[in-house]
Amino acid sequence: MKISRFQTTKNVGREMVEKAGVDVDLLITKLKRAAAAEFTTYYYYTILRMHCSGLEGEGIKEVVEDARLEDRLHFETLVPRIYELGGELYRDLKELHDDAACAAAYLPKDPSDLAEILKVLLEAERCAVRVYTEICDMTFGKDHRTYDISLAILHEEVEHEAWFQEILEGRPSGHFRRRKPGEGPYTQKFRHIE
Amino acid sequence: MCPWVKVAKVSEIKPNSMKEFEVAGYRILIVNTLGELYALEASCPHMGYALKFGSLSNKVLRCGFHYAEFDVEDGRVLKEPVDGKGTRGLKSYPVKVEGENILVLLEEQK
Repeated sequence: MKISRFQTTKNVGREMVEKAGVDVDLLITKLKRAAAAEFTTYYYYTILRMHCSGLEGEGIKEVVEDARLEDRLHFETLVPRIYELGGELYRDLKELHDDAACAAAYLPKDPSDLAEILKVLLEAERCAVRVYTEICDMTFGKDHRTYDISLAILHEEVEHEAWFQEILEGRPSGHFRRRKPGEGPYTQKFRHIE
Repeated sequence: MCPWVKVAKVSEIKPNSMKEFEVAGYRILIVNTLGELYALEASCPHMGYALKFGSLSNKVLRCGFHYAEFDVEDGRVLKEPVDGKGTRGLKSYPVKVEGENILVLLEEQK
């Protein structure tokens, strides 16, 4: 008899989280939707970034690029955790798009209006901050690994929000440059790719 | 048996704010706006995200994830989420204040 390569023994990593009182299936749903939002945001930011041009726009472009690249890395950071817990990614990209935790970051009606582009970027980051705050709340003291990953992503999303708010509203800026584009300083330890 | 359940103290919910509570297996959002208190289910029926992370403007509660809007008086949908999937309204629970305590009638929905 051929044994299925998916036939596995119990997973203690998941079992511990369940015993701590976490609804693991719900957590997987939230992680998948968060990953979906990162993936779609990466795509939509690519378009938004292209429209950050001209004298003012070029100054914004690099900031959008940092956020764009880090959002893709957030997707990469979340995916292994989804599978560790027994979940899997959407098999259909359309399903991923429609299930994303945040609204699509569409290019505004007037793509030459930089303030409108920044508002879209800011709303997307604010949604991400809410998503990871919720996952941190759900896993704090119960699922240490998911909490650690989500907290690291939350750190970066909070920084992204601050960057766009500083540019849009002229708030005092604490934005230091990343050491390289899309560095992802907080999530770096979870990734094994560049 | 009285189905009214104590959820919070009045002083816990500042004007123009909202707070989530878990009581008797229910997650309840208490909203304090325009001098009135309202009790609603705490998760957006669209995708289940916590409404406490949304925003409140007078009697309009906006989900912070896909921007569905609800009337806090009866939970009805004022604006569908932007992804076009649609959502049902929020469950709304009767509220009364006794002394310092906010009580919610969990068994009956408005």
